[in-house]
Amino acid sequence: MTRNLTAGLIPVVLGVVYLFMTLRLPDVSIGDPLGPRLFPMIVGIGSLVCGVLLVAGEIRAAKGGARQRADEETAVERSARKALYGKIGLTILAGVVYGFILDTVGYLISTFVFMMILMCLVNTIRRMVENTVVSIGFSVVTYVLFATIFQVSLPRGILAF
Amino acid sequence: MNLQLGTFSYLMLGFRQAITPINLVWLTAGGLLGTIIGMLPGLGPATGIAVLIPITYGMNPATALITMAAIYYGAMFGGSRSSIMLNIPGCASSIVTCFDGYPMTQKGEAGKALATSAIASFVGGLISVVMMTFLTMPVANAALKFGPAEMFSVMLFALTATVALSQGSIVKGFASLAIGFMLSTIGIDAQTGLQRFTLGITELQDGVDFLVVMIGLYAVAEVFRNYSAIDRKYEISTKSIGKVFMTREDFRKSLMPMLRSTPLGFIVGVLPGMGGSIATMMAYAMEKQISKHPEEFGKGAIEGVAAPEAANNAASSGAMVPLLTMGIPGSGTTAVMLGALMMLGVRPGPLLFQQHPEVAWGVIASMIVGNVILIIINLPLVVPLVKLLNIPQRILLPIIMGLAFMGTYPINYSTFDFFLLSLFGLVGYGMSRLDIPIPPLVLALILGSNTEQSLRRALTIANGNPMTFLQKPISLAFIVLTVLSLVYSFMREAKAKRKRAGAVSA
Repeated sequence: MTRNLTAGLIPVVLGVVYLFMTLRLPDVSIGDPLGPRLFPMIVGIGSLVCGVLLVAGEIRAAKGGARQRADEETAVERSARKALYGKIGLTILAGVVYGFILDTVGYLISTFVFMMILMCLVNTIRRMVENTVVSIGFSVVTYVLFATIFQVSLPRGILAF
Repeated sequence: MNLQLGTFSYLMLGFRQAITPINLVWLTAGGLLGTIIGMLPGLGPATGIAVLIPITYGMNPATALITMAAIYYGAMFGGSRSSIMLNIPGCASSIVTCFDGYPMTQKGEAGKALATSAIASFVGGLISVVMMTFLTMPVANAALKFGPAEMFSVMLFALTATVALSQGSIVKGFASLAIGFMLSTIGIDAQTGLQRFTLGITELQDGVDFLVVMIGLYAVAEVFRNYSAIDRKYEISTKSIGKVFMTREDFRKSLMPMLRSTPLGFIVGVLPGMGGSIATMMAYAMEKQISKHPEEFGKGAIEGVAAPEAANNAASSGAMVPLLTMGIPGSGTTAVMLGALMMLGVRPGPLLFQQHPEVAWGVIASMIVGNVILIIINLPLVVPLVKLLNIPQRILLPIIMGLAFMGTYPINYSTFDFFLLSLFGLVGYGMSRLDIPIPPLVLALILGSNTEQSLRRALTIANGNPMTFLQKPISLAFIVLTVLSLVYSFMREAKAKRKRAGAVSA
């Protein structure tokens, strides 16, 4: 599947699901009856039309043979892409873990853990001293800035200060 | 009352606001942070403001607005550093500066190029703020009289033009716009109290928080994109810069290009969807065309640095006009600013000028003061600041990611936002992989609720007759502009397609 085809199918799918949900909205007795549905209807149809245009354009291009299959990637490129997706996936995983532990263990520890994972991921495990310094520095400095200048109170968690 | 006199006294009111110690401190800090953000490649102004939103959390509205504006035009000052030193643009609006800035460095004139860019930024910034002072009052006064029908048409034009006038596929741009609108309708409908599209998730009842979406789409996605170039390293020897100054002859050569590019950049900046990068390209092309020695352009012509640098600063002032007077952002960066302001309870628009003139004019006056501060700190600090380019990506990227998460949490004090943030980071990465532009989504998300409400209110007033949008003259004018920008963009795309087809067959 080419990238343009994907780019067309996403608005089609989103548009269909969205229109379906719009039609299933319950009727309201107060206010204008058409109101809550009118705008979503326009938007959903718009999305669908955009998607169909993109897909149609892609099919036409494929039929005309104007496009060569240039997307063949080499083994090196494929392994680079896989490494990239791995990093992105692990970052998101770290973010989700951060979200689950922040309220219980507190800002300082959870932020340190989050930064440490990211630093190990991006800065590699070999540079452990750098990783530790940046992670501790980041969590402490942001915590102090938040508490003093920005007057935002962050969850303290198990560290009671 | 004499309009000019009114403007002048308002401006004085603004100056009183701008030069309070706390505002001066943040003006300087914001400008400096903006310079650094603009300078670092891979960190554009939209990402920069998104990441720096937390610094505004404890601020009063005027200080927050002043700081954010300073970050924005500070980024325009800084963007050219890496263009000149490394031939790598710091942000989209400094791509053009590479054309002549880097050749100047190769000739050993890096110091002269850096000085020219700082002075041109200053001249462009200062003159364009003066233009801004004359334009804001009439626009805000006109916008004050807008009813729902006019508001809807203006927003329709702004959103369409953002898609139509920007580069890239128009259909993809509209798809992005539609997705942004979809997101904006999630939550409880303001007029009927009906829950829409929440999928039964309690956290979505109040809608998707646009700040979280923006930080995800810009900051998180930008880090993901940069993951592929972690080992990139920039080596800069500051010794080769030489003296950072312009001779009288240099100044004479660059003066007219600056003065011509400033109004051009300002007008382009006011228009939705154009922004800094297009302003710089137009300014560069114009100077090359009227130059007596066009062959020198691209080989280190000083005019080729002065013109785009004046233009992008002027464009950033221009972009502030629709944002401040109507509450309508014309670019991703101004949309992020609007999002941050709305969180603080500031709603830019004509009412801001009427009810809080000290805030609205405080920002405008602060831009004059800010440009002066920036030139004072930028000329002597060029060399130490350029050294920051040596920070390796593998340390910078985790810090940006950390700032994105840390800045998200205090928005709602909810860790649910971390999941949304990760999700939209992924969405933003996917969109750039598929060449779907991000700004239309962000603009639609932030303007969606207003667009829908004005549409419905206008229709209710007109008893459901959609012709009301064509019967009111101002509304009609904007509908016509919307149609024109659409026709123009489709014609441009068709022409580009024909050209491509011609190139393939030939």
